[in-house]
Amino acid sequence: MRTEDDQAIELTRRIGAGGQGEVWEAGGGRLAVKLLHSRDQRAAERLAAQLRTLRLLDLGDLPIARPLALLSPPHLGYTMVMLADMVALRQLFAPTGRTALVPWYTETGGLRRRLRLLGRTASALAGLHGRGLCYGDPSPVNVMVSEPLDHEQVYLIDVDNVAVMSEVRGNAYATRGYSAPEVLAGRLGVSSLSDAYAFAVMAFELLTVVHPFIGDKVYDGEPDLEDKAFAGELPWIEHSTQPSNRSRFGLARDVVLTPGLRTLAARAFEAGVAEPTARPTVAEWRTKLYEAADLTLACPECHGTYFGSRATCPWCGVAPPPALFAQLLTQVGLEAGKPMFAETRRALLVQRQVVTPVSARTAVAAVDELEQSVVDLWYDHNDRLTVTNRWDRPVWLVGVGGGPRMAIAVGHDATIPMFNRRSGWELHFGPAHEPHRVLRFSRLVRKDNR
Amino acid sequence: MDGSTSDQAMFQRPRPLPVLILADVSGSMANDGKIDVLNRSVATMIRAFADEDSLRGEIWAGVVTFGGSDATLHHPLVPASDVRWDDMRASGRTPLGAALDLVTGLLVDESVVPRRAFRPTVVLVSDGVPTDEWRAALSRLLTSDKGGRALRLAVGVGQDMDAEAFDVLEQFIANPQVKVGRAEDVHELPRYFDWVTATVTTQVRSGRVTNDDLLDFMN
Repeated sequence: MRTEDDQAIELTRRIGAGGQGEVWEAGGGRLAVKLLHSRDQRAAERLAAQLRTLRLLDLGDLPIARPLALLSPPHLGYTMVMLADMVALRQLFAPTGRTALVPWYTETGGLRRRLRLLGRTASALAGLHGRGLCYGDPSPVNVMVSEPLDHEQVYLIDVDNVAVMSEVRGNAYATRGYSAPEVLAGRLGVSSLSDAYAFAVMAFELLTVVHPFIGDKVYDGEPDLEDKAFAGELPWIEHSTQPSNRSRFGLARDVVLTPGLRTLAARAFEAGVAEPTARPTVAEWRTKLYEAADLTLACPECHGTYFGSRATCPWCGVAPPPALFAQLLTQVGLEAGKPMFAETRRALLVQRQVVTPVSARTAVAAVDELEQSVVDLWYDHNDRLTVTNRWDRPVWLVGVGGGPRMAIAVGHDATIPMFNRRSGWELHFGPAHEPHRVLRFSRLVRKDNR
Repeated sequence: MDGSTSDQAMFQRPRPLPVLILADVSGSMANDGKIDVLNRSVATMIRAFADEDSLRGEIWAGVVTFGGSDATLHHPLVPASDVRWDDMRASGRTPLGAALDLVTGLLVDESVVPRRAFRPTVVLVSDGVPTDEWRAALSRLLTSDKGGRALRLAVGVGQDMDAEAFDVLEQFIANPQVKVGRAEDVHELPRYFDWVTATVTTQVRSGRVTNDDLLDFMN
């Protein structure tokens, strides 16, 4: 197989296959090749035009595979830039064979990694939407993620569906189970709203390990019923008023979804089925997914991750590890020399003996595709908290109520003793005279095991 | 209420897409190495099926052979990744009727083809005219619910295929839009099975196959 500019291409491993074609790894993992099934002239012209358009778009730093070259006939397809050590998100969607669900879920990164990978996927899609584009066919085989569990990169491949907003395509080949009902029915083409629908399905399914429309009667029924379910003609499995399509499968919803995520899912799969504008945007998903990930703890026993609100580890029943609760505030100004705070409903948990990175998303409310750490928090066995400044500017540790004030210069760290009942510490991400964000630490006290 | 959810949680299995191979293993299949090529082709196809990794569908494969004096379930219908291929051997007559009845029985049995399965694909491979009463058996297959709705494909192998033998295959397909495959030279057989593989994998990826999709593959 060769490209139009006469480079020889050797396919090494199939990464994924969908209705439209297959994606293969090539060039020792530095390239991926999309091979389309269809070989007719119209499809070839459409693809060539699509790739020409894509090269003109400014995709900035978005983690999206840039197309390189068309394949030369008789093949129809193109090459794109690929990152090393990536696998399709599909690998995290369902175990194969007779594996037990919960150990598999943990071994593939558990709840926290799924929340964060989805957050990054939502972030990439939001970046496209912010440029007035849509992705077209978000699906578990089009989102690539880091294979090593300690990495959390995402990378969208299969860019040939990227569009401003597509015309209705007769032979719409969007991935079964992820197309928005209006696209499936041929009423509308793909849009940022159909992306938001597909993303909602992926997010719910990845976290709960059950498709939001495959209730028990769909699962046990004939394929026609599944077609109806995917077309939005049956209530989703957690419908607030219509319980006719509940599912016995998957993980307990309240174990893997925060109330905020459940609300987003309900908006997408109730009002959002018939009314695309009622769906939550991918940016809303990004926010709620990251916020949920910030509130997880890792079980010292089974290494599963779970929301710190639970009395015990939902995966193995063991008591939670000690942790600090860091509430996020905004210091809006000073009044008579005293700081004034606006409260947020956001917080993060700092588990003992686990590095907790804080990104610019928390520190300055900035969108950071890479989620790079600006400070690392370390809560040790002796009840001390160490703050390491990895940022490009100083941060300040301040005793609550105007206690001692300690600057931490760039590249330095500081350790503070924690915590008796009456006093605590705050971490300030800006100087006192400017509005800035603040983390206020307190010990996470557990009602149930006192 | 907090509690451990670990033990009870189950995941949904992909919907099965059953593929039954209906293979003529009469004595004449031993000529020109036909049975060897057929063994290799079917084994290759089942391996390709096993490599398909779709969330929504899983290809199951089974093989019914007809030769000697009767039809045999050579491989039961199981997920393709569970098939440990065992070569077929050629001998005896061409009891197609018995094979069709065996297939009809498999398709209607919900313990073999669950209700939730996708429409089955049945592929008939033969090199000559049946030696038993096959018409009534075919009619039982075509009037059964799953047999009638199945995607039925057929290929004639070798030089001995005459008009009568092709007519049997056409009646089996019973769909003017699907042409009988012809592998006069036995070495064309793998290409036919490549086409079957592509047709089935397209179905399992998209959940359905339309006539248009079929035509795409008819080259």
